[in-house]
Amino acid sequence: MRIVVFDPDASACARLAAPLRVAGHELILTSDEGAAISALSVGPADAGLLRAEDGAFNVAKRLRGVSSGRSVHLLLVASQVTDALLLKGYEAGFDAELRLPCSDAVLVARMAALARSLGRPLGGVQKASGAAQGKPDTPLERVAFSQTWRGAASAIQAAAAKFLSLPASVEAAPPSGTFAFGAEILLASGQSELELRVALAVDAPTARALAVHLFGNEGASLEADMLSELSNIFMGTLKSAFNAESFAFASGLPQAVPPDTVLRPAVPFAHQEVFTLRLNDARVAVHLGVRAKGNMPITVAGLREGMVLVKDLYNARGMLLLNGGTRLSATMVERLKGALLPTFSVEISAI
Amino acid sequence: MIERLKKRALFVSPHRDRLESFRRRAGEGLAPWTLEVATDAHAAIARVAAHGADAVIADEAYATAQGSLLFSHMQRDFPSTACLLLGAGAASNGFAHPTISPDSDPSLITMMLERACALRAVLSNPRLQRLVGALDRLPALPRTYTTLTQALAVPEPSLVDVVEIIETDPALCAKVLQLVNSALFGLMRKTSSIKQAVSYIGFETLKGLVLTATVLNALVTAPPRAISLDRFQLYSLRVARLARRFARESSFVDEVFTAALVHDVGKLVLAMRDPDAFANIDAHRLETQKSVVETERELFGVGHGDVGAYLLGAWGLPFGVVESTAFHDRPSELAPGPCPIIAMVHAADALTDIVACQEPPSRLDTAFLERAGVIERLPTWRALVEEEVLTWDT
Repeated sequence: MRIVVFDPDASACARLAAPLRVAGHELILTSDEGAAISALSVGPADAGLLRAEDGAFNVAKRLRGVSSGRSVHLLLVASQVTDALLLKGYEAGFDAELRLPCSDAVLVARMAALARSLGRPLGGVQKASGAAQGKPDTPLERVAFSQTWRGAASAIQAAAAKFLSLPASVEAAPPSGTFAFGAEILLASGQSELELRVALAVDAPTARALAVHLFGNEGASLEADMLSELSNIFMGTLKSAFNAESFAFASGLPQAVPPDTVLRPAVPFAHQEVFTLRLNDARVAVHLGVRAKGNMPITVAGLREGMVLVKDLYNARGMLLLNGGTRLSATMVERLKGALLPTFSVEISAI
Repeated sequence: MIERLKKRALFVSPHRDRLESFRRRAGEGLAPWTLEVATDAHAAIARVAAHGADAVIADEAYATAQGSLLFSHMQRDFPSTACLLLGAGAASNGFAHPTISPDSDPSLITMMLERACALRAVLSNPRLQRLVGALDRLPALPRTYTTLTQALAVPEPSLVDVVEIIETDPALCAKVLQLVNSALFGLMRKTSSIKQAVSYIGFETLKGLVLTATVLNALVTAPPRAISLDRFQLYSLRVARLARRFARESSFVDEVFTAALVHDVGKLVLAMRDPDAFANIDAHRLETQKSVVETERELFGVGHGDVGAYLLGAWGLPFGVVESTAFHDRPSELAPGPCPIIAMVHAADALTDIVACQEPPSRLDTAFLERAGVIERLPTWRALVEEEVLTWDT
């Protein structure tokens, strides 16, 4: 299933999501109300785990107000469950509660039961269309349901271990902390109109250590090159695997990118995975994303700098805010978030 | 007070005793006024031409053919003169000119005089005349709307007659159906029949839709870039429905609905007159932190409320609608007196702006709403708006 986890405490958010990621669910983690509404309503998600705070009730109420959010299963996550809290939750639009503490086994089993009741695959990415259960019917869904996608983290782990000659493991939650370097590589599949992204981010000590490991002492300042090389290796691994499944992704070049865009790309992906690649003591944040080329509708809450508007954008009154073709700056994004409802749909260019 | 500084009012009636009755009733309130009399429309027009007048008060006998002659002359030749009707009906009964009941409280009589003059002063702004005159053509009176209004004024309007009126204008038919089939009305099944559409939404809402459609047809020769007409119309309808909910228990609910429907029509004129300046209003406001009214006056010399009121006044819409359009976004500038229509239109408009367009709370003039006697209803109205906006996803 696609599950959105909302908790103002980012580390609590990651802790809750970790066992579900291992179980094969697609997780979207956020501490931002607007981003939660966007993630739940666009797609849409199958379920939401929302920590019982004021923001969660606002998210539920707004989500139930839009047509795409009415069927999302919402669970109110709380450690102290009272009648008043339950009443507030149900009135806001929650379907059930999840009491903490909850063991990983119980949480995974609970989500599996929910998946069964919703008719979803027990793990892995849900299909986006109304086709028969478990039978993807678009190229995007075939990628998302493929063994390559499901095993991507393991493939990357193996490629890293081989290339770097270091023991490697995968952790479900993304690393915390401040990243200093980022790199990404994009591949496009012309035939099936898909785009695949592999992006990595590391902090400064990790970058230096890996650069030295790869290039020797004189390579201590080649952190960006190291990261680009890593992303290239990982993408090559995936490309070969996907090509074997008849998705002929063309080659792309790795490039350095601002590290904060690695886990928050400018354009949203229909399916994505975020995890930590552990190399000895070093931790590398990895983002995998796949999306269809073409325009995508997203909510105002999900707007990011760098996105390009497809059409003229008007406010609720009908007054022109921005022209079509405008690439959004950070200032423009803030202005739009201040002028439009968070659930307002905006069409943006995927590429 | 020195005579020449007094305002001049001309009372038109074939019955001199009515003037005396009016003067006695109004009492001290008429002290700032010099009251003169004319016994027929021709004499009244000649007197105004010779000596001028701030206001012409016509006896209810003139709410017919001679009245039309008198009022149309006033509007054309003496646009700065306010025209009022002294009649036994309610103060707001759909007449284009404000009406005063002879049994009204004396203070109300003078308030209405002052209010009529204040509106006339607003609409006599030469900049307005230049702005509207600069359009390719002066918008024509929406004939279908007036015909429909007449058909609906009878005690039991005929659905057949109403449908026939609409169907004489295919473009209007298409527009009405488009609006009825939109998300606003939430029809389970789309309709292509005007008869079905009217049966579903009712006569008063239909009248409002026709007004909106004919106004747009009259004003817009080419779609203005800076406004999405569909979204503009939808928003106006949404605000009108909210205003109608606010006014549900009142006797002027239909006038509130109409006033809210057309309150922003002046924006269309500004957008067509100078599209670049209009498109810059938002950016200018962001920079200067000024209100919409202040920014429009800076860029155009007038506000959209004035422009809309000018047009609606020229089209002969009721005084309450015209006054509401002129002052809906600056109600504190309104002269004292009862103002329930403006209060509800302002509240619906401002609250929707605050909730749906994230405008600051200062957009709502709470001091005015307190003066209007509706401040205690604000929390209920706010809740209604929030509930309504939650259902929007466009």
